[in-house]
Amino acid sequence: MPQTLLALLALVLASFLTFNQQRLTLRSHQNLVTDEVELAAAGLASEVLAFVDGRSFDEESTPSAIADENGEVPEDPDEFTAGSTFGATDRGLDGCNLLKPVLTPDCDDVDDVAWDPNDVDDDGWRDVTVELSHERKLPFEVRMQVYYVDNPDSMVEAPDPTRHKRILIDIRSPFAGDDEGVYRATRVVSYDPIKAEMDYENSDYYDPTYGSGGGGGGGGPHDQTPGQDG
Amino acid sequence: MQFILDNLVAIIVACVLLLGLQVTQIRSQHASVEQVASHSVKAKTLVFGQWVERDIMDIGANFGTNMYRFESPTIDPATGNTTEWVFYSDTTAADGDQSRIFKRYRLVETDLATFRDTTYQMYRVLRDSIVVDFPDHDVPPQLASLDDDDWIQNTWSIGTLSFFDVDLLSRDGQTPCPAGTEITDDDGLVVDCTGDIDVYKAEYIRVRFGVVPEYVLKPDNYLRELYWVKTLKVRPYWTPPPSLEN
Repeated sequence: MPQTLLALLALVLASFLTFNQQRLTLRSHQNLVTDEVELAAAGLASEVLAFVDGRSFDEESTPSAIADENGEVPEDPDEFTAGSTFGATDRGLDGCNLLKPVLTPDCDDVDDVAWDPNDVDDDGWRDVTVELSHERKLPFEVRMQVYYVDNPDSMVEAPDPTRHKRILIDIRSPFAGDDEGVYRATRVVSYDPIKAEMDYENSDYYDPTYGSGGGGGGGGPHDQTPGQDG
Repeated sequence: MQFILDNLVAIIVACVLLLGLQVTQIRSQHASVEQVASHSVKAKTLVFGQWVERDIMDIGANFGTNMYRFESPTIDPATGNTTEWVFYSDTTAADGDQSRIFKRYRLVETDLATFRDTTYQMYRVLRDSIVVDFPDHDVPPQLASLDDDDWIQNTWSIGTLSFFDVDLLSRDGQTPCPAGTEITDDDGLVVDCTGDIDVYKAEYIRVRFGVVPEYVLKPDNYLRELYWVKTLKVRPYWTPPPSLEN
């Protein structure tokens, strides 16, 4: 009888040890996967922000808007759209393709990518997929907020339009992290009239005479389809 | 025999315990090696990424605003990998002459690695360079004038890259092609050109690569492939490219 009890005790101890070891191994695997996903998410954030930065600063500084103003590039922040209209107001029905902006031409300025936290019908998460080798893919969801700030160091939303817009990007993955995301990054995009002018001059809207313009108003605030807007 | 029968229960329990402890020990070792391998791969990925980033940021140093400073990358159509890419920058030599520094990335195959159901061809990136001096205000040397033997191999990456991809992109995310040479995908996105890319129009350089672990464990590593990407704007401003001037 004592021998049986001792054997049982030994088995319980062995099970306990194995269980603990298994738990440690599982946690180690979870950390490895999270590391892997976080690195990919950081790269994705840099890529998405690069293409957001490549868009015009404001709807009023897009090539079509400049063409509508006969080549005049906005200089005063008062000319920019109000912070309350960020997001779906002027980005058209196709939404925003974050890695291939050409597929959603109406999502043409920085604040078009914004999610409105007060919009109960839209949780703001957009699917973005990273392509690996051998046609394997890593799915992510990306959500962004955009608001005016008084200076590039500020995290506080400015009440009126300024020359700086802060972008907050959250990325989440089904393989790591929680619903709030596995990675967050932020960047300030500042208005640069020279960039606006260069974007205009390199666009199909460019008119060297600055006379008749290529826009002439048309769809949305500024339709991004040259030649179809009247 | 009598002894074995008398202690049969104890022997069975001892065997089970030994087996359990052995399995635990092996799993523990496996996890430790995997963690070390993971850390090693991540560190090497980040270092190589930093290396590439630094090279790209140096592209075109001291060039004029409208000079293109890189060639169209050579793509292997079978794998989609960038097999060769040349870029350059200028500097001033001690005697006041100018020097043009050419750099070249070459992708070469290394080994094969099998993880679960996938066999990866692994690669290494070799970086070659040439420094050519030329008199101040003179015409700089052109890439075509260089002899292949002049390249000096001076750096190379880790040998466990699973893919390597350099894309030159316009600000709308497309590959900039000369008119009439565009190749589009199912979405209508220009993804390649029938000839060389219009490098004057490229505003972004995107470099992507994957790295697989160098230690393949049995059972296989949980870690499959680390992914690194960086998209850098290389032309803040420039006058309209020649292709748009007319």
